[in-house]
Amino acid sequence: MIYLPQSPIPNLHTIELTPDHELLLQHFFEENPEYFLAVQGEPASPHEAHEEISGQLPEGLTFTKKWLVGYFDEDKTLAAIANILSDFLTSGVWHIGLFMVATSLYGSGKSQILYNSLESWAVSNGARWMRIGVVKGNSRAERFWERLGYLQTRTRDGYIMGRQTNILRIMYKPLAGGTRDEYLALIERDRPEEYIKESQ
Amino acid sequence: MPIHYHINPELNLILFIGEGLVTGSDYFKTAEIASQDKLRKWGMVTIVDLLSAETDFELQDMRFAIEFTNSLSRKSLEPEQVIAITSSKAIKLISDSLKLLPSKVPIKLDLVETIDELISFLGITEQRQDFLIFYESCKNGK
Repeated sequence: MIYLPQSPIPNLHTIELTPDHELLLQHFFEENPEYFLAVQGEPASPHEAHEEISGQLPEGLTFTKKWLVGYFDEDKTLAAIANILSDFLTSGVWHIGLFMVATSLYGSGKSQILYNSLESWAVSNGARWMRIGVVKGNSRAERFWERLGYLQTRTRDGYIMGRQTNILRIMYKPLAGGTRDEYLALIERDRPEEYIKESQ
Repeated sequence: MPIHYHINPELNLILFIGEGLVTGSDYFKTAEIASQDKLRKWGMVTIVDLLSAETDFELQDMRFAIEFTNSLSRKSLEPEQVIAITSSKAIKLISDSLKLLPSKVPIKLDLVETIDELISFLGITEQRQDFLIFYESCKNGK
């Protein structure tokens, strides 16, 4: 039995986001447009929160649970959210769908504190690898994930998000040791073209 | 005893239900009895339902809680998550004070006001029915 991670920051507490929280989440997206401007070239769409909470993944992309973690402050305002899929495609690989912190917290070090606690929670519940797709050119995010030890394994071109067609950097992080080859042996879809050619 | 406990190994939790006047001493005594239960495993989430209770916690209870948490640190054990269901302002004050008082490791005590809040807090929306069945049966003393 896995429970929601708790907040490592004393004045924030976590809640599992459900369809009941759609309005709050939509408000959070609209109040903090930087991420959407960077990856979509436009603010969050009016259906962004609905999609985040209730959207389905394409068929064939399996996982055991979609964790939607909302970090609320004492005024019951969302300060951050995390969307994490446990056992994405295979056991032990956890995928970060979205990790977004309110703009007002940028530079405070709280993003890293929140991420570190999420990572510890994932490890204590069986994660051996973390995975994320980062939009190339979203330099703040690229720097953040690289600093945390994420490594690029491949890119995906032509990834349409809002008005933009992006290149997505697929990144992974070993949490219990392990090489890139071991990771790619688990997740076929993350193998870069040159890797496939080499192994042929 | 105005407080009784139930353990659910599938949900990995222990539920304490208080009714009538509950003192800190009542809670700690029951927790001690529960710790000897063969179903009790370290790392379970502790839920303390005080919705039907009137509470009387004193400074010495807070000291005991801090000392207990510090003793876990000495044994290299992580403190367990404790969630109290209550709308009592006194408990809120105690919870805030516990977090402010010096201790070697932070006390993991959170408060929620309703069962729905508890379910969201634990992230068990998908297990909502299982939890409610367990909770109701404990409430009804089954």
